Amino acid sequence: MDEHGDSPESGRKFRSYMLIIFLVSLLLVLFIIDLLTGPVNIPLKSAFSLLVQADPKPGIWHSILFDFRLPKAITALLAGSSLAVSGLQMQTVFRNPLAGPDVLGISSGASLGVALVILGFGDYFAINSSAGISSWLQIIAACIGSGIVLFLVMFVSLRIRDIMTILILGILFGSAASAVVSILQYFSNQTMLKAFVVWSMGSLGNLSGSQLEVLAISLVIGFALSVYSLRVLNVLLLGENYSRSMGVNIKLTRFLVFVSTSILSGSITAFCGPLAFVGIVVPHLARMMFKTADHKWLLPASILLGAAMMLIADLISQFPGSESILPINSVTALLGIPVVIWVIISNRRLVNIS
Amino acid sequence: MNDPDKLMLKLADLHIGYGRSSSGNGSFAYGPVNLEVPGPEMIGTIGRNGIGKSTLLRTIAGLQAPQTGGISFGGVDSKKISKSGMARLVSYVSTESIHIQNLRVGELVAMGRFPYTNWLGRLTKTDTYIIQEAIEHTGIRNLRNKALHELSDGEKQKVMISRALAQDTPVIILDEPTAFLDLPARHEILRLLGNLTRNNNKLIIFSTHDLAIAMDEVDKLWLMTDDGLMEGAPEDLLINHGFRKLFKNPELEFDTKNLAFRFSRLLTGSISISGDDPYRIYTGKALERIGFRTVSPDIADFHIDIALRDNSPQWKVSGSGGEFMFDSIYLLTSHLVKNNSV
Repeated sequence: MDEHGDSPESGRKFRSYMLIIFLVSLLLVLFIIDLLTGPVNIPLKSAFSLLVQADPKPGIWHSILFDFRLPKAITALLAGSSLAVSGLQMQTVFRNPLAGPDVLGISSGASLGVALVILGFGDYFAINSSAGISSWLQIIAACIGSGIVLFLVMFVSLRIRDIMTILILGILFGSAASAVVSILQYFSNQTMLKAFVVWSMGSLGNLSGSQLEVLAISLVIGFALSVYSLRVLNVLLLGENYSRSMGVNIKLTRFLVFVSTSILSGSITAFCGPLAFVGIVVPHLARMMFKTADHKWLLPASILLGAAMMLIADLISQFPGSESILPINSVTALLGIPVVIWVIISNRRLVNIS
Repeated sequence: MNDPDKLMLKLADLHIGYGRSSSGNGSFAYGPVNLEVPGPEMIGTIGRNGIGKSTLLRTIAGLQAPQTGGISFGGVDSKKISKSGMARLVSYVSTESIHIQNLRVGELVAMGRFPYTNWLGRLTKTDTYIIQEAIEHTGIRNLRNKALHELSDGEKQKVMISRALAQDTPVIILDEPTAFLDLPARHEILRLLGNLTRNNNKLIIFSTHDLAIAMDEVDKLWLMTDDGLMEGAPEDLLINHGFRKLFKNPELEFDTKNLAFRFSRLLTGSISISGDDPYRIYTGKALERIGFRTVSPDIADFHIDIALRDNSPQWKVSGSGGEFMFDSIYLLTSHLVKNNSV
């Protein structure tokens, strides 16, 4: 109808498409670098020839590339994108810029679930288990753990509108879960304890092919639910009154988003440990880059940026060229905390959002 | 909706509220409300804070269930209308201010199409046309590409009304649409709502404390008093003294001349004023503030004569203490306050 009114709109759309293309290429480059570098660097040419020619007798490089680094890089992609999407959904549903799986105690809930499995029933499974069943058990326990904390936080946030109070309560729920974990640790044997402590530092490299399959299946369900909620998430930004006046079934939507969030962050936490700050930080990066509130852009943007952040964290953690590997959990925290501080400082209305 | 036998909106023996009415704490109830709205009109709801204006509006909008009684739209009981059906019947503008990073005006208005779009939210040609119309009718075309946080409160309110318009419902309900606005914006918003009633055939129900402005625009007022809800054209309520029942405070009286509530004053002094309008009226108003009643010259304690000198008024006070001249009302009242208390 009026050209002048439409041109900024289509300009923004063009910019967003360009950004998506940029992020996809960035991700591709990071993925390849992640495959090639580490304690042993593999030249790009050799990696390519390994990929093209099916080598009848696999060498050491083949084994490093396909048995270790490829699953790890894929795990990084999945972990980063899942945590970012669960953070995005939580920030919208809670209408709280500081919501995220770790801040609100969701990860602690998942940890409790995992602790129960590793510390409580670890002996049992170590003796007689097929890897498949225990993987599922670990995922389900983590999802239930995170789901319980999520529902507690939501229940409170229906009564209390103050963001800081909710955050503090989330931290308290998380601490309660951690306290129970400590008790479990106290009563468990050394082997189990070490397994749990290593888990709690976070790792992308512990997944076998079959575990990766289990993880991928649960993530597909989580992502499908979040895509289904896309349109509703936009309206939820306006708050409960507006959403309901436009016919949104608030209870159903919240339930779906919670199930999705619990599955996404719970199953990643189950296998990779509590990866701090990815969930809370990435949605903000997505908003900053795409300058939009529309989840149709924010969801793919968060997926791409989350995956990229996780790959970068993985690259940093393995100190290219050195033998030592840093706990990935610390790397994501150190990458993420400056962004969180920026969000807190720049968001002066933080306390008033309700 | 066009069936003349069916009322556009009917509230029958409606009791609104929340909490259990027997336990006093945290509960609230108002009713019964019996009202009939035949067709599109603009209705202002007024009443003291806490009497239940918001609750009434929220109940009509379907955001809150009635405690007892029923609401019907076009003869259909609201309980039988689905969530999406309600969303196509009533739109709602809440009193809360929305802060959303990076959200553009055009996108926000487009959200009004939510009840009509598929799960992906793709806008059809009809949707785009209706959004365009909503933007035109609220006069916010120039704001279209601005981010929400760049707008003034008045502009924001227009955008929220535009979103409600895009929802394309016969009924629009607004909770205190003038609450945070400055005076010109208050007039502008109520004029806009009036235009939407007349030009777009909307039934508009809103709550407000801006009685004087509302009276210029509304077809009808719903007066929520502790003795029940009274309705009528603003002038009808003037005639039957409805406004007196609005507030509990006996010192608050409705000034039918200025169409506003004011505290009644204890007037102890008496004064007579001669001079031209509007100076005479202004002077009387100022003197009432310090406790003087304007009376006829023969029984007045003081007499004030206003004369123009070089086009500016001069006040001459004569009384028991002698004669004094002042060239502003402020000096005049200061003198009288000092003199009267001695």
